[in-house]
Amino acid sequence: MRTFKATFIMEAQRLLDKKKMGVLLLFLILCLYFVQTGINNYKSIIETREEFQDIERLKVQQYINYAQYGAYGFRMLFVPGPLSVYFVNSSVISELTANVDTGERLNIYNSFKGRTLFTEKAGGFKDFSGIMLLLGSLLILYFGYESMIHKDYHRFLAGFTDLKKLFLSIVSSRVIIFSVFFLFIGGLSLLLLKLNGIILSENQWHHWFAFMGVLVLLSVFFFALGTIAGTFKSRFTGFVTLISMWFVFVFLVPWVINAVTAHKADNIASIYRLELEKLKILMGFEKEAKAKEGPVTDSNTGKEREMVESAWKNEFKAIRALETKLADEMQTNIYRFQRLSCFFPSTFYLSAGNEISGKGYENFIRFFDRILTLKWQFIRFYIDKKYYSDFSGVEPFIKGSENLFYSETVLPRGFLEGVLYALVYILVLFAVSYVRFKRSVRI
Amino acid sequence: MIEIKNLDLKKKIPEISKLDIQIRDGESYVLLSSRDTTIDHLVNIFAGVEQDFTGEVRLDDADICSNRDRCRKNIVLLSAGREWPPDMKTGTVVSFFKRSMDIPEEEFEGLYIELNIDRLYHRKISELEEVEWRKILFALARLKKSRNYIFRDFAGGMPLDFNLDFKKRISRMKKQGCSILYLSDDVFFAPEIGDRIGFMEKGKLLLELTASKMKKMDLKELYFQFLSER
Repeated sequence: MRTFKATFIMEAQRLLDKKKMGVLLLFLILCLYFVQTGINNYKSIIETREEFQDIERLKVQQYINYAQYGAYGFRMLFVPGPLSVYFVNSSVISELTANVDTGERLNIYNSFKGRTLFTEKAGGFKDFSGIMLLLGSLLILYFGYESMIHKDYHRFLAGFTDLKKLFLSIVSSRVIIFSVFFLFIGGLSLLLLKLNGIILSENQWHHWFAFMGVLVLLSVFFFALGTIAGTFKSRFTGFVTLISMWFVFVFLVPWVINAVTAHKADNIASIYRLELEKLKILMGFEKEAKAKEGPVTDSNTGKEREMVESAWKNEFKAIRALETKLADEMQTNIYRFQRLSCFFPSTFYLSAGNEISGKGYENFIRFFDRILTLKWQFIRFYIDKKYYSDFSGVEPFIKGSENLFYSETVLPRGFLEGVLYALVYILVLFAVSYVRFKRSVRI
Repeated sequence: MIEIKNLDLKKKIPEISKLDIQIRDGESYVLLSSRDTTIDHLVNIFAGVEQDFTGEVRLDDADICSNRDRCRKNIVLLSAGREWPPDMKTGTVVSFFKRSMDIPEEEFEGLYIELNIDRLYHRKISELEEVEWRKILFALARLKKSRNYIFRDFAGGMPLDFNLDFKKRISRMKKQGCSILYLSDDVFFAPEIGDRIGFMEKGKLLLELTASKMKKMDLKELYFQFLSER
């Protein structure tokens, strides 16, 4: 305990160096800048939300009859939760809108028109989470590397204390120091949220802590890698190893997992083929109805009703089944992606961040399910209004904020497995680092 | 007391062969070898990080392999290596030892005066003169109050006044009953600090002389005979 206390104080004092403080301060400012950018982005979505609802209400007032309403439909907006401020650029979804009509197609799109062309698209590092992975990992790798490169210093200290105790003291002191630093940045980011009037719900708090936990795990993992790089006899070899490890875990591994997932996703039915299948079902019905009953006129409304009800029970059900099948296939692929991501701390961090942001795969599937449900409700509404009402004026289908989808922050499947794998990696890496450390104190 | 009995260490080539040395309390021994790896292996054995040897190494009757903790307490290893964190301040290093060894403030007072620590306290290791740095290392090592000291060419390449001061300190330590093993290839400095001097070649101890006898000999000749890489 005495050695640990002395080492901890010594390591903390070393950090008080002007240069190191400057680097850490710069990093802190950069992180907070990205949180503020995320907050601005979130606020702009909230503002857009009101404009979106007003426009949607006005659109309905423009329709003269239900046939127009059915053809144009309504739009549904994906509204991310407040935790998305940390993941503006690194999550799967940047912005999402869906158009729901009575047609066979289900339109979910990311707009590139007008100002949305210039908004940040997904898949980068330009946010708090991304910068933590890109620069934070590099900083921590170097922090680990630097803790092991001063061989004479360790040799001298080893004369005064047990090697294992010395190693544990150095490693645990540094782990505590950078964990506190990251949590401090996290704390300051919360202050920014509060200053901007963003309040987290209880569930969001839990997931914020989960994200911080994953961030600390990722940092410890990179730190352990750094300590291994620091134990090389040649500093050059150590440094090259450090940069290679950074490249592998920050770029290569996520790229491979994305590539594998994309490759496996080839099994999912083609969206064009699916649209064709649905069109075939619908057109098959149209042809059959025309052959049986002839063209629809004012005199045979009863027959038309029967036909529509039959289509509702059979063809539309078949179309819905196709959409549900697609959702299931996507779900399977998402599950595969999440399981694969668990194996490496950097991909686990990305996967967890995706879901915690509320802009990940899980929320996409929820959004998809919600649209699917609304679509069938809208078709039913359309049938009822078109064929059974008194045809006077067009009533809006959407009540209140039903056309807004509020994403929920969730944990990815296999979250505990991911934590467990990360812990195992960390333990193994520290064990390797200790063996190498013992060897490195040899002259 | 430092005892090395029948020590054998073979890596790719025999690094140490049948080495027998006994350094009594209050005695200093200089072991000269032109081969750096032999010296390195010996330091590693004393540091407890090299155990791939046969024979026996004992410190105050404790075997270095079976009684590692006791041996670590009874030995100080000092080398001139400067691979320390350059941004570390002298005060930070001193405070670390004060805390980790739980040494009372009074004991440090002497050290502060001796090293003129006020002047050095806020200076980084990289900014210190080599002489100042080695004095600090030596003073810190002395705080351990160990009775056995292994130096790896600690005074090598240093100015005359440092060497004279070092010699005085060694003499004082001997009077206090410390055993000193100085590992080097400096044939000229060896009789200044060693009571006995051993010459190693290709891992074998070939010659052992007393300091008084060595001083009478032609040191250059001895150098060319045992330590030159000709």
